[in-house]
Amino acid sequence: MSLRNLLWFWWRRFPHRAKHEELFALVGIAVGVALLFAAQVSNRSLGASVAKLTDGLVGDAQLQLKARDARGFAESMIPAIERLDGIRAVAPVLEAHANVVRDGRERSVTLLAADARLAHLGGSLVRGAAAVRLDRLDAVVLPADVGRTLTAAVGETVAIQTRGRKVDAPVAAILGANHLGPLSASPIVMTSLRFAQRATGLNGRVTRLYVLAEAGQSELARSHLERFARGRLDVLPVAHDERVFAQLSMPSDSSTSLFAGISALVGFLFAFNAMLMMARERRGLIAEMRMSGFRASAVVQVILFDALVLGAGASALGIAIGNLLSKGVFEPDPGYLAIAFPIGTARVIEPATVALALGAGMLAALAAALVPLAATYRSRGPMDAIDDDGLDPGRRMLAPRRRLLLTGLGCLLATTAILAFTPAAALAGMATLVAAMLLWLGPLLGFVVTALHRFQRRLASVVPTIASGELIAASTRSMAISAIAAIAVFGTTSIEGARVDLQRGLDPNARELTEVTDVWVSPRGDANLLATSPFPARLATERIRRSPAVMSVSVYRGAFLDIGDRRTWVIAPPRDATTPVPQSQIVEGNPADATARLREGGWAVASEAVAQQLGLTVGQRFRLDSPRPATLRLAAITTNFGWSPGVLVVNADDYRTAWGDGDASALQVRLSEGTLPAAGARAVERALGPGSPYAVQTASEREAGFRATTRAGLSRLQQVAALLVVAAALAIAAGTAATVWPRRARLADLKLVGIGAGSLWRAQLLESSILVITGAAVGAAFGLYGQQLLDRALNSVTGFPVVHTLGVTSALASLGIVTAVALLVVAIPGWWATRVPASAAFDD
Amino acid sequence: MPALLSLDGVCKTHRRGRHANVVLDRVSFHVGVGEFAAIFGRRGAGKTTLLRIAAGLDAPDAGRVTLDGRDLLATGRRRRLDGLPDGIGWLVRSGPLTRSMPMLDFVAMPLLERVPHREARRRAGAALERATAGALVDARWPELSDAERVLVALARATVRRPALLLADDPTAGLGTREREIVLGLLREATDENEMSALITVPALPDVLRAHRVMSLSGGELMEPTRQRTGDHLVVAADRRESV
Amino acid sequence: MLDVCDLVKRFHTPGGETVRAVDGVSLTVRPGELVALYGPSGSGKTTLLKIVAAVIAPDRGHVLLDGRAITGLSERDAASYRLHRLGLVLQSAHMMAGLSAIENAAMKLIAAGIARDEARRRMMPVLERLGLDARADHRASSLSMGELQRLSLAKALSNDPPLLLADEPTGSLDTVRGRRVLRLLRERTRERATATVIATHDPQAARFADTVYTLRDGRLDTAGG
Repeated sequence: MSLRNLLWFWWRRFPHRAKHEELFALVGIAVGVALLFAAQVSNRSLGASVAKLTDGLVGDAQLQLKARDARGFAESMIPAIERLDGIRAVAPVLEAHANVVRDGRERSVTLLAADARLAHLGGSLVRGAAAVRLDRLDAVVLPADVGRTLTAAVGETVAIQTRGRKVDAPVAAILGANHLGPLSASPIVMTSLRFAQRATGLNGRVTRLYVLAEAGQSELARSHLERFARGRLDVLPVAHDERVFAQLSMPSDSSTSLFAGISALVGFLFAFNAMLMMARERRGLIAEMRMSGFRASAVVQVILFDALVLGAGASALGIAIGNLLSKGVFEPDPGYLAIAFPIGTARVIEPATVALALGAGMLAALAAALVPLAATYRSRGPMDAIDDDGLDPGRRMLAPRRRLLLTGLGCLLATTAILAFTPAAALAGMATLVAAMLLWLGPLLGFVVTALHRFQRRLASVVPTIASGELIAASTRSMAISAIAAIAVFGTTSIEGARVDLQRGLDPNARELTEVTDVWVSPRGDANLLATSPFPARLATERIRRSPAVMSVSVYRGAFLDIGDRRTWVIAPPRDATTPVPQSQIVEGNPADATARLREGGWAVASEAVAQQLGLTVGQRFRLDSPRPATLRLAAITTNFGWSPGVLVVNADDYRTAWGDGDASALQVRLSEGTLPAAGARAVERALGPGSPYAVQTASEREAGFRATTRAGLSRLQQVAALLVVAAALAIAAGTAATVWPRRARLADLKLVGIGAGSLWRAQLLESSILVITGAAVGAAFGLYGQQLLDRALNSVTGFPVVHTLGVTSALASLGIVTAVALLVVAIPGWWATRVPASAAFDD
Repeated sequence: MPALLSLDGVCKTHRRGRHANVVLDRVSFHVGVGEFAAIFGRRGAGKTTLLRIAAGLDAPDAGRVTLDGRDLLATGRRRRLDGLPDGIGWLVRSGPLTRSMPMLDFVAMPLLERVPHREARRRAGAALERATAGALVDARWPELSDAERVLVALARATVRRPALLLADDPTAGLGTREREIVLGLLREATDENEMSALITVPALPDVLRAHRVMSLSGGELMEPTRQRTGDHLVVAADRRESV
Repeated sequence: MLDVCDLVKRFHTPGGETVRAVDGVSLTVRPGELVALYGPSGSGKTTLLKIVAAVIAPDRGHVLLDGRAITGLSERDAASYRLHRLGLVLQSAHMMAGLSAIENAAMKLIAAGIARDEARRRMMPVLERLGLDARADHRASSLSMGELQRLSLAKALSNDPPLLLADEPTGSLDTVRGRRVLRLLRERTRERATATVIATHDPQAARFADTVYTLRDGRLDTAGG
């Protein structure tokens, strides 16, 4: 059929369509698409923000020379590098963690400094800031978001606190999105190299050198650079940061992907159910076309065209809604990722995300449209199958089936095997577990229905009679309702249970890391949560020691070190630490031996992922690519302390040697006998003086900070669980509506018999209750098992410490919530169907 | 008259649960080009089944059905997927799915597959004229009387200029005068256009305009010989030999 | 005894016109009398039945059954009336496919508060009478058209109502089965002194009735009979 005819035919039918059902389908698909789009935007924005930052700086450069620590390397090396073969241009950059303060407001930022050479690389950030000549600036340039947080204006002064120093800086410019694009929402502060070096005290030093190689000579340039670096500096492609970010955000990515997947499922379910509701009308249309003499191909074209238009419209609507959602509810939240990257909160909408959302919506509409098509072509003739009230004649869906039970048992055994022998394959185990659950659901439901049927023998009410009559004749859709409830409860039980287990593992970990001292002192800044920002400790230590409340001050060191793509957290506890490694976090190796060896020196403790990356077993020697490379032996393997890329613990002396300086990352203060932590903290603050660039926390305050961050990181999982409940409720409502709607003739007939609408509605509720509660109960039981699997899966993906429990309360809560929500929602289509007038039973 | 439609030894049995009902028992007949044939029989005798088999919409349990030499059953399942075979028009008495569709569009619908929509509407207008329903181009189905609906249905069934028109009890529920008009139109259409028509009717008086009359009873198709006695037709059943 | 007095019911077509489906109909049905409402489709028979079944309300006029008004009832009272005092047989029987034949037939008894076992006990003789006793425990989905129609009749008669209405009871049946159903209706009417009304366009069915009222365009045709 020609396209013009298709369009004309669609247009002629347009004003007269089954409006309610089409609207339902449109809204349903739109909702699914909206959720998918919002989740993807929020997720991809973070990564895109990192990519844009790199692009903004890097321009055309292909390589970078990167320091392994915060002290960077000497500028004096640069002329020699410029003369190397194959190198056309270089541009140095200095980055440092800083805290910007103004009028009592503060913001944790990354200080970004460069000189005129960066402009030659063509980075967009520099171009954007070109209005302000950076290279001779003795001031700072703020992106709009930072400016807003500080309520700073051009010409006003802000204080830059970094590396234990404080410098006042005038604001030269505040740049918005028109200059910086999405970077206007990133936590960065731009200034000249000179000024930054002065502010940080890192005179004559830079942390990065971007290198632009001659055309086609990247390889040559790289090998020269590597030789030059002599293993002390990293020679990396410019895309390195994006890869590290991808690694770091993997757990957050995984749960967001899960969220996006379920959103897509929501959209599909909706589309499917709504299209099923429209199936009757669709089949009428198909019959009408076939009796007009249309070929099968023309019929398919018309149906698919309808679906395409619906899908496109719904997707467009969904993207619009999703856009709004991503601004409000799903704002990109860097969370723990901001600790290691200056990630902005700007939304970045990539064309790929739009295409994905559009495609998903269209696919849902098309798939759902094909169902009535397929059903028609399986029936005998064109005018058949218009009158389908959803009954599967001759198919006793709810009769117990031995084969189903046995296959289910097989799946259950497979799951157990996976759990026992290869817990890493836990996700596969989840699949077999879900299969077992669904296979057993049918026979269990059959058992419950038969029991109801027998029980209501004694009862004199017509409500259970009607309910069991419908259940016994149950079609696939009724079974589907039960299955959806089961899957929802299974999902929420497993996910919430696993999340609680994860939290239970991380909380003691947080305590163990922080309780080693009474008071912590570290450079200010939210992003410095893990205390990885170095500062010269002498002055501060002296001041603190003078306070009578203080008994001792120890130096704690920590830093980030990129081992491959893993931004590893390196910890060097003070020399006098009693437990340098939290004993409960040790997974492999003897704790006592490990502690002793660590004290001894020459040994390190690494988390599982790091050990695996370096191919190490306990006792093995390895080379650490620290600023001064060192050789160490692995004393033990631990969990990752809640930092997913991994952790490395070394001796304080080894750290000093390998990192080459005596700077501290934090001071651990022990208070005198009898001093309360809060009082002690205040005393330390007083000792440091007003406006000091240090944050003073008691151990419990610091612990609370850790826990809040991990909770924020796991919050996506909670959102997934909540979304599952909503999705299930909506799907069940839609499924019920689709099941109940074709029954109206039968309901009208019962009204003619004299049965009131109230009884009919109660029968519908009873029927739905049985389906939902049975499904939910089965889901809860299997969910507990699923929780065990998911625990192990999460553990292997994220490396987080996990405490395995059996979340019975959580299971019961899931069961209760899903059932309550589902029944509330189901009451509506049930009530609406019982509104059918009795006169409808007469053939009209 | 050369045969357009040919049924040979067609058998059909309907099964429901444990009951088996022989609806058609070795039915054979031809409809020639330009011939208007009618089959009458009691309700439940199998007329609709026979018509559907003649249209290639259902498959018989045994026997052959050919249209203009083409075996309607040859491509089996694919034929049934495609609905009505080429050259057959089926008079459907139900209206458009979208109740507010104007009759011109409704009649034009069968042409949309192959013909640009403007041309389709032009031809639809012509078909409505031929069915003496030219005034109904802008009317909506719910407004039409039963008789007007049959005329529109006739226009729709003939808009593609089929070689064979099939109609299942086209005059059901119509008054006497209206029946006359419809049957007259059918006769006219077959006379003028070399179109053949095969209809089913529940009672004998309805077949006065047909060229030929057959009766279906107990699964057997018979061609009664006619003897005029007064104003009534006396029907003597005569077993038709299979060809 | 059923009294129909001056019933009028109008409908508005989508085209904006008003159609008088029932235009001033009055008739009486005595206990033990089988009445046929005869007329072509669109003559108003079904509308009239719907009013008598308290399913729609008339614009004018009233209906009395044994002196009690059937028109102007609340939703609840109408349901109660249909349950206890009316038996209804329609052209196509909508049965609950998941329940057995006898459970379907006993629906009215169960709705009236009789326990299933007791209801079953009462229905068996009725099913026997209609030749359905062998199929009593079979799923309704396995019954033939004729059996379903008879089951429908059993359900309508299950609580011995004083009024029985049937809308085209032979519409989807062939002649033999149709006649069977009509005979049963007539027998039952006599035996239990039920007032029975059949709406039909089949002249053969009309012949079974004691009285035939011919309806045309919503009015009783006093010329015919």
